[in-house]
Formats: sequence, C-alpha cells, structure tokens
Amino acid sequence: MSDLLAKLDARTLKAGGLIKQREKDIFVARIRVAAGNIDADKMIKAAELAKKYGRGFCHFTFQQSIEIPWVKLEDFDSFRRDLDAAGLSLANCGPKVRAITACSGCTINPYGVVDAAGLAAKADERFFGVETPHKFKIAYAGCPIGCPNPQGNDLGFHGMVEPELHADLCNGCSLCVTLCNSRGNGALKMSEETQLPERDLEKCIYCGECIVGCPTEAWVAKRVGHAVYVGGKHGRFPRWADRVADFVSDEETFELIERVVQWYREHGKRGERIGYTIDRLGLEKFRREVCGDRFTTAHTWNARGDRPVLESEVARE
Amino acid sequence: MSNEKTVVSLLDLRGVCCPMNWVKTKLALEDLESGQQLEVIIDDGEPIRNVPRSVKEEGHKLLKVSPIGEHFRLLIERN
Ligand code: SF4
Ligand code: SF4
Ligand code: SF4
Repeated sequence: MSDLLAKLDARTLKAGGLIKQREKDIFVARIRVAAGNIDADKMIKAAELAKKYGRGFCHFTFQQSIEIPWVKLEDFDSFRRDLDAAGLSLANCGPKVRAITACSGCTINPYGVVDAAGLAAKADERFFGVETPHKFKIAYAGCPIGCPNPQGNDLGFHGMVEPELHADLCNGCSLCVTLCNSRGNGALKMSEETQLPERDLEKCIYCGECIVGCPTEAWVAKRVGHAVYVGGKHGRFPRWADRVADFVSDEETFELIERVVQWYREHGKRGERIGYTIDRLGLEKFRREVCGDRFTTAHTWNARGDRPVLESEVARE
Repeated sequence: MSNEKTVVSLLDLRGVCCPMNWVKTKLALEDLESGQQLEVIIDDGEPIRNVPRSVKEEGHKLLKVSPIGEHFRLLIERN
C-alpha cells in the first residue's frame, strides 16, 4: 500500500477523479457523465460498484456527475478494472475543462429550441480534460429559461429563437401578447388596426414563448441559435457572466469553446477563473480578440444580459 | 362545421393546478360536439402557458383569450 501511495500522491489522484475524503485512505470516485445523460446499463454498473466498493449509495454532483463515496485506496486497482469493464471512466478535477453539462433540451422539454444535450455530449468528447489556468465549466441550455445555469459557468450557452408571424394563420386570440407580457419582455402588442400582434424588435428577447404558445402556429421560428456567456462562476465570490454573442450556430459553439479556451490559456494566470482574467484585461479586449466582427450580440444587453438596453433609454441619458 | 357556434358550457378552473385544469378541460370538450364551444377560466402563470398548448396539441381551436383580472378566459372550439 505504501508503494501505491508513493506512486500516486493525492493531487494526481484528484486530477483523475478520485478525491480524498476526510477519512484516511478513503476516496470519493467521481464518474464522468457528459450532458447529464447516462446509459441505463452503465448506471446499473455504477450502482453495483457503489455496493461493491463504497457504502451502497451514489451522490449526484452539481456538475451532473455520479460520485461513489467510501472507496478504499487498497481497492483502487480492482476498482479501476471493474470501471473499465463497465465502460465507465473517471471524471476530472483540477484546472481543466470539466465534464460538460446540459439540460434535456428540446428533445424532451417543450420549451427547448436547440439540442442542448446532444451538443454538450459532442463538445465533451472534444474538450473534456483540456488543461486551463483554473477549472473551466461549460453548460448548454436548451432555451433562455437556462436551467443548467449558463450565466454561472465559465462558458455558457442557451438556445434562442427569433419569431416571425404568418399573419394568414393568426386568429387574433392575443394569447401571444399575454405570454410575452408575463414571460417574454413585453415586446408584443395587438394592433388596433389589423388585429394582429406586432413585435417590437428592440424589446424582443428571442425566448420563443409566442411560438410555443400560439394555438394556430402563426408564429414560426425565423432563426435559431445560441446566446453565449463568458466568465460566470459561483462559489465564495460569484461572478455573473458577460453576454458576448447571440444566434451562434451549433457548429460555432464548438469553435467558440476552442477560441475562448485558447484565449484563456494564453492570458489567464494560474488559479484565475476566466471571469477574473476578463476583469483584469477588460471585456473589450476579450470581445476584440475572441469574438471579432463575426460573433456579435443581437442587442446591446444590460449588464445581466437579460434585457436589451432600449435606444430610447440611451437617448435619454 | 356547425353554423351555430354557441358556447355550450363554462368551466371555472380558477385555483385548479396543472395538469388537472387541462384534464378537466379535456373532459368537458369530449362532451361537446365538433364545432361547439367551451369557455374556461384559468389562472395566470403555468396554466396560461400550458392549457392553451394542450388545446392546440389535441387539435382544438383556441378562438379567444381575454384577461379578466388575474385570470384568463379562453374560448375553445372542439375539433
Ligand atoms: S433550459 Fe429550457 S430547454 Fe432546457 S430544461 Fe430548462 S426549460 Fe427546458
Ligand atoms: S397567439 Fe397566435 S393566433 Fe393568437 S394572436 Fe398570437 S399569433 Fe395570433
Ligand atoms: S420571442 Fe419572446 S420576447 Fe420576443 S416576441 Fe416572442 S414572446 Fe415576446
């Protein structure tokens, strides 16, 4: 056993997804789960491992991974063999791109506009474990409701959709106006003249409530994409992410992950989350170097990135 | 489609949560004949978001949504 310890100090162990517990020579094994989805057979295997090596329970982490507490150091070798045989692998810790998280997105939930889980799984294959100055968390949300908290991640995405009215299908019921008032940004009004809803382009937040709600399918999706947030984190010193781009395509989310991670590797100090790198060097520099002219936002958003700053408000100042 | 689209019944679903409000609406619609109309009153929040969508998914027509205080009156035509 001391041989083992000599070879593996606690830090190396941690990088591999084994986290030391308070108790001597006892570890939590963190199993890698991408996009919050796990094959049922693998889940059964994980449960069996928890019975065999742990204390018969699993813990779900906030990063959607499965942990098996109470694994003994002396069992590591056989634990790892069983893990491999089950087709499971360990998650990571430390200064790296972590397992990428997602909601169930549009495949299951009626409000989703993009395939959050599918994209997160693909991104995880490409970027999981890439070394960064500090931990780097990425989340994909299916829509602006943002269940997986895109604004609280180092890099977060949420689906967004621009509606377009097919006036011939509208029956004038006004439900979309009601929904936009309570769930959207009050961007719709019934026109007295035409008895059709009118969209204030300046106010629309692209949530798609009108599309989901319209009983006649008069509202349709004109364009769909992702909003991009950078620099969010929770913890002792939480930081709300900056909204840096809108209507980015599925493929472009991968390109952005690469560009953002690259920039962070070049500019981030060891132990500094990307949000603080941005604070130190300025958001403008980040926008210029990472987003350029290609990735822009649909509006000038407020500091939280949730409501557009209206031209009329700017004019008043 | 019938010419006499009279409102056959009124269902007050204030305070009834999802998905019970939809289940009750559905049952009431089943008692109607095609083209007949039903009026329901539902709450703001989840109900106004969910009930109309279910109406649409089952092929009925939502003719009108009118706010009344903190509630909404839906006029639905059975398919
Ligand atoms: S973020 Fe949107 S799509 Fe994803 S689970 Fe939440 S409501 Fe559904
Ligand atoms: S919800 Fe649809 S049918 Fe009703 S007013 Fe809006 S666009 Fe027209
Ligand atoms: S997308 Fe959202 S904000 Fe824009 S008009 Fe529709 S409901 Fe309103």
